[in-house]
Amino acid sequence: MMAMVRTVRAPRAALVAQRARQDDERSFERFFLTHYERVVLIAYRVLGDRAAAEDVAQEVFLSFHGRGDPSSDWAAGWLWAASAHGALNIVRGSRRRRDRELRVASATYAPGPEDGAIAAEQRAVVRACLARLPQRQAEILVMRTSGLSYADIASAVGVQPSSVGTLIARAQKSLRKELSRAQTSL
Amino acid sequence: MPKHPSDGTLRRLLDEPVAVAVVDEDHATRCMRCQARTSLMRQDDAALTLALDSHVEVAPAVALERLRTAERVAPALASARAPGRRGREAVLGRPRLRRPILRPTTVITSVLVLMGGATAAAATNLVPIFEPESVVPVVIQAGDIVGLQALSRFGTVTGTSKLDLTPESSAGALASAAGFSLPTVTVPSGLPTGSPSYWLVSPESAQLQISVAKAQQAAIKDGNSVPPAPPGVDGSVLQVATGPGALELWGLQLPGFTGGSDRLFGGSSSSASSGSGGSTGAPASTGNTAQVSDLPQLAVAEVKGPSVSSSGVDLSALESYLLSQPGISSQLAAQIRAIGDPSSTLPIPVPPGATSSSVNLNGRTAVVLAAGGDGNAVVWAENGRLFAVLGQASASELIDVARQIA
Repeated sequence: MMAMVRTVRAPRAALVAQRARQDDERSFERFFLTHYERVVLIAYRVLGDRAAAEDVAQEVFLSFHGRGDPSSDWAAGWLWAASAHGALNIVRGSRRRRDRELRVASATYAPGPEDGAIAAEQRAVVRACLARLPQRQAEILVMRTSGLSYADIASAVGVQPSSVGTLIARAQKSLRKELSRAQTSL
Repeated sequence: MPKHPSDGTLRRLLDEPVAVAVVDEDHATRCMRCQARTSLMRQDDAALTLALDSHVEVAPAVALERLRTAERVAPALASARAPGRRGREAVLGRPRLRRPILRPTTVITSVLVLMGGATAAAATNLVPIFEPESVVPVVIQAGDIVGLQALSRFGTVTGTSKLDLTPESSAGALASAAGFSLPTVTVPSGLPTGSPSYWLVSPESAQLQISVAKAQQAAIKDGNSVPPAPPGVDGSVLQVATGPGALELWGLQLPGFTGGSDRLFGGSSSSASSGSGGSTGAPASTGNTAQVSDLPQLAVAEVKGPSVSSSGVDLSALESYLLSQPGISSQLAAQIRAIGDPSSTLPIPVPPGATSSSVNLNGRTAVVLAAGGDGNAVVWAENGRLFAVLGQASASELIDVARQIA
């Protein structure tokens, strides 16, 4: 009798575990499909290259999958911060290279593009300056310009929503300084 | 005319106006000065929004298949890189060697805590109030309280005040771990050539919760008295965070480095050794025992922070209270009060026996510390980061290296 119980229970336990795994996978897939576009967009803001942005997004989801809980309240915020972090790290890959690019690009930089067409060089200047900001400031600016709310940003960086305005204002001030420095360094 | 809203409030007025109090909104509408500030923010917005690409076409279902393929190809990848509670933990959460060395920022952040800050924060949560943009020397007198642990006489210190270093195999590995790369420098002739050793400076943070009763007890025990604390100071919290950072060393193996760096930056080891009791604080000391050979020939470091967050206490009141404490010399207090922009100017302690001067590094002002046979250092700050070039090399050699980085 006991042997029968064991032979019956073991498959049931395995079945329960298998169903739990399937539920986890379905949960992750919903999570992926819900957030993938925004994760790519955040990286794309920084990199300006769709393929590179999708690579960052894949790394972010690979990092999350299996350990993170998609239903947790911090999950989406983690994705956004990780995407901005990963993209900025790529831009920071070689500071000296970026500095050279910055000097070259600054030669053609002119703020206030009345014609609405932003030259690639100008974008390179902004990106290089963004990459020189403190990591959190850069991440916050990227997330804000990607359309995240104060609550979203607060969740991503681990502060209260009431602090986000101060952090954005400070980050913008830093970026303004960097852009000014980029112009005057010529 | 009511008080001008903070930059943060104006910023939110642009982004999420319904979350801003009516009184602030009314003020911003009528005040010319606030309108000018708002206009500047709009210009910043426009520049950034126009410059960064905003539209990208993606196919999430295809991307999900790609992800599945990647997981099948490298099944270990996902588990090896899985996140912790926060993204930064996932990126930076690496095994560490617990080797507490390089204490300069301990002292620096301690003085920073003593300094307080300039901005009165209204929120009840911890609000960032300091990120270093520039540096200024402050002369430490024998007897001045320095060191984060020494601040335990003013309250409860939690967290660590030490910086831990993790060896990295290469410049690339260090850049990957720290999240940024140190520029390659040309070592002046006469100094050790070849590759340096690479070290990750781990992120650390510490909190000080002010206890007026504890400060009074410590003062009474020393035979002193303290002025009454302004409202809101008792129980307020300051949090200091440093790291991550990157360090490259030429001409030194690390185990012997601790004493040397402490010597160069003003006796913080004696501060730290005061323990949590902290009844007497920790006087800055010139009685060091480390040998000159404990210093590297050359070290280059870049560390994020130190940054300070506050629980919302009126920091001008807190600054006044802390600087009036016994154990803070009137000279040190005067120097700290004289700092023009304490929300972004980092005081660099000049220990007894050392001298300081300023040098221009490609437009940035750096502090040069000269401690004779105890080594020299060039320190500057930029965009919330602290940079240092230090060692036994001459000041002019260190400045040459610093100019390659700044």
